[in-house]
Amino acid sequence: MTTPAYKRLPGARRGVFTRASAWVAPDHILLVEGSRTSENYKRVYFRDIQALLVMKRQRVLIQAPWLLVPVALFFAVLSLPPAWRNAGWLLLGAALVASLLYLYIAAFFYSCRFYLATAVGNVYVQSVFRLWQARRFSSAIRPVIVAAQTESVPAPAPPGE
Amino acid sequence: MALTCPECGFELKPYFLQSPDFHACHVCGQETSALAFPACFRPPETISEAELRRGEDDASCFYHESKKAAQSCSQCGRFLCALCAAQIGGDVLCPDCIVSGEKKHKIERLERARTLYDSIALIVAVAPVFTVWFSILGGPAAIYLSLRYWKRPTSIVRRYAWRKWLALALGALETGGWAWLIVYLVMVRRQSQ
Repeated sequence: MTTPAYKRLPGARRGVFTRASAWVAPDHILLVEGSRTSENYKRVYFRDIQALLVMKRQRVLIQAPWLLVPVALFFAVLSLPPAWRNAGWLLLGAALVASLLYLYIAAFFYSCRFYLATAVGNVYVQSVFRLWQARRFSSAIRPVIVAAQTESVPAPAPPGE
Repeated sequence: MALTCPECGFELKPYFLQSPDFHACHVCGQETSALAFPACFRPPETISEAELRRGEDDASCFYHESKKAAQSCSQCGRFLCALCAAQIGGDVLCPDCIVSGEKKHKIERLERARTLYDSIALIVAVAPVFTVWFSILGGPAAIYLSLRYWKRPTSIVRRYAWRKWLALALGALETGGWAWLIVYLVMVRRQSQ
């Protein structure tokens, strides 16, 4: 069995511990997820892809535990020696203002979740998480999927046969 | 055709397929766009009873004696009916060859996970450098991991071997450095005595 040559598709997630990327082979898309020390593979064949689904999401989603961070910082400043406390309040205030400003600006933009829809279900593509990445990903694989699916359909028999 | 909403799992309405714009799901309200392909509008592939029925002169499937052989396995040559023949890449495989190929990592297209020993060796070589003292263990460990798993395949998608070479070089450097330091300290001590 020969190894197919893979070409990288737009979008990549590179975290401290996790990473994800998508690659295209002549007949399938390979989704690589994992860490720095191991990789898990999912293959989705062109002939099985029914649609590309892009789900619009807020760019920033604040989950409840994160709201404890300013509270923890507040107590951290209170626990500082009195001589450093004023500087602590100043830094905490600056950090909060910067965070609010970032959230306000980020709220103007949308992020996304990208899926390859097949007859069995929707396959989540972790490496695509921005709308511009989804657009590039779609335009990169759309022609090959269409070509693969139109090739695999047998030509209709001529009338009279 | 049955595209489902990735958020709630309910079937998406037909207007999702008419334009690739964002539409709200009628159940959860999640905005989603769908770019449909011909496979979405094609009826599911079925195998008719007639295709499977074995005639008197037909060869039978290895796994189903009553069914007509349609293809043969590319690896073991067993005759297979339309139900048993699995197309993987350009090859037709029987269920047994698929199972054994997956177990023995012979068929790369069936591999679902790989451990990246070259990356582990590099991490083991690089990480202890920041703590200096741990490199006394990290160096030999990096050499061991590099040599022990030298022939193991790396990632399916990146095929560069520089990680294991670098891990080996760093491991050798760290181990050599420690050996030199120990010998030097012993000699200095002997000279001072």
